[in-house]
Amino acid sequence: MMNMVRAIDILLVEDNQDDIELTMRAFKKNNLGNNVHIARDGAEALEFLKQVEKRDAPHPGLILLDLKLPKVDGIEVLKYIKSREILKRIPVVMLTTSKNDRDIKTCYDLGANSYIVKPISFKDFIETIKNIQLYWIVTNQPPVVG
Amino acid sequence: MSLRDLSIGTKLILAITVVIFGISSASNIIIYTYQKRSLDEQILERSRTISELLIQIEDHKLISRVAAEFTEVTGYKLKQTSLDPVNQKNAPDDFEKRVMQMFQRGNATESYAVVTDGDGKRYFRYMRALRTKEQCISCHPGYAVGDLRGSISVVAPYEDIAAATRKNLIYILATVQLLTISIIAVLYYLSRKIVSKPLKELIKEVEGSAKEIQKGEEVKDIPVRSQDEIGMLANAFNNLRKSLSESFKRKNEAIESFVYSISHDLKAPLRSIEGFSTALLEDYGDKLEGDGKHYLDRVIASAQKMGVLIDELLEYSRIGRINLSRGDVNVAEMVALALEDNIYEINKKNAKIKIPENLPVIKNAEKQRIYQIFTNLISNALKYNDKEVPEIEIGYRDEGDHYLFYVRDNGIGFDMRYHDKIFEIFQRLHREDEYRGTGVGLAMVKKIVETYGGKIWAESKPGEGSTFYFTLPKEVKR
Repeated sequence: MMNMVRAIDILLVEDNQDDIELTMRAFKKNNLGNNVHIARDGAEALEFLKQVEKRDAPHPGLILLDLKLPKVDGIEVLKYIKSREILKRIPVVMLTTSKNDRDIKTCYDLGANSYIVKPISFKDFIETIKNIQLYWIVTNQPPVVG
Repeated sequence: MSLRDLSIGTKLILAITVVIFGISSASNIIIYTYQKRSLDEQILERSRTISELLIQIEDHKLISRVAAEFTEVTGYKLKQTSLDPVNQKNAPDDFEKRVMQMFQRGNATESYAVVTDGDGKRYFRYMRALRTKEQCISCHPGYAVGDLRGSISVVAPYEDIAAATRKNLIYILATVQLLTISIIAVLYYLSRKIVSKPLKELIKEVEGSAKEIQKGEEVKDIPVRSQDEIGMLANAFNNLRKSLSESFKRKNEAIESFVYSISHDLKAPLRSIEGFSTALLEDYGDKLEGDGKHYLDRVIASAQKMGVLIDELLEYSRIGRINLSRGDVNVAEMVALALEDNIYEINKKNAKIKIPENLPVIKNAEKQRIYQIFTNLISNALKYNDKEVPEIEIGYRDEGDHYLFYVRDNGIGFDMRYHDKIFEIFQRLHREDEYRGTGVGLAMVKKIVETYGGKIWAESKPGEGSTFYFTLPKEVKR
């Protein structure tokens, strides 16, 4: 029943093509590549989320959100998600290079569920993605959509 | 040495001395002149009075008696003289003759002068003309009324009187000089107390402050003891130091945040380099021939090393700039964490670790920073060690308001010539292939210790191990 509503597992909001490819590689290694939707900037993410609200797009089980995005900032996207009735319960994991304490605080204040600094090392990055997947997709019990 | 280089106190004293001596000399001259003139006037007055008196007396015998009496009292000699004396005793001397000739020519009734006599002494000479009156004619026939009959001559011994006056004058002048010298002494004392001493104190304090700044210690304001110019100077110095340190701090912060953002931006492409190299190796590794795989490994290793470097640099720039959560930090816990962090090396090298049973607690500190101090020092003690059994000893001593910690090893040591260099960022004493490292560790430790208000130093000899000492306040201020 739950698996039916969760048509896609992850919405990945990321502007860096390299990071997208590396993240996708990590997902693929964990057999998850097919269930990821990619938004290349904040505006694209908002457009997709509005479609989700209208049920024109599949409801994601997890949102991986970068902070520094072209057009619309990650913070704005986060604000939008957490202010919408249909979207606000989707776990949002901030995945960014910023270790800035103010950024971290702001994100948690706005209701981000997790904040992860992208590791430099690819090995660590793969590990991190694996952990995110293991925790948020497997361990964590998301609310029922509807 | 020119006048300009004299101390302010000496300059003041010089100026005061010149002015006061000038004033006292001027007043001495005035006193002397006044005294001299009043002496002349006194003699003149006496001479005039007695002459006038004698003229009035008609009785010749009485005249002689009065004259004798006057001479006895004053010491002035009285003499009646004439150009044509009846009695040769009354014959005029040169001065008297000259004056009487002058009287004869005109209508003058008196004349006076200070004259040096044949004996070399000075005398005050006064002459009063005696003109023939009507009643005289009966006794002195042959004179017309108004004719010069003779003169009364007064001879005052000027020298003796002047000497007495001069003695008096010397007392007065001596008193004035004494007064002058005591005024100068008082002013000298006051100028030292009011100007020189506080200025010297201020200079000492400013120099002390400059030394503290040079040593990089926290500098307190120098005390402002008064609201006068010296106090204002102290205040101005404090303000200067504050604005300098603020602008220095601002520049430092700007540099650090610049370093932070640069390092941050370097991370993304680095991740790509490492990520895709790894992907290449994983997916197409078996298609690479010869050294191909080896080269790729080198690319990945370098990217990883650069990653570590950037991380360390980021961490270094965060010390003191980013405030982590603060609280009581149990040093024993942090040492345990640091040892655990280095457990691989410890086991591999079979190192002996000596830690005291008790280690203190640092109040208001950041766990992460205390841990970083120990993990870096321990990792260095293990790394730069070629002994069969590396030994590391950690200890501390209570030193009042702070603790002195040390981390001692029996490693390769270093030449004390390079003591300061080893604490500088990116400065290393060894080639990369001798001992791996980035040159950030000790710089980071130094920065943590110093932001906590402590000091760090080392003692070492090549081949005989090193001991790193550092102090941490019992309670970190901020």
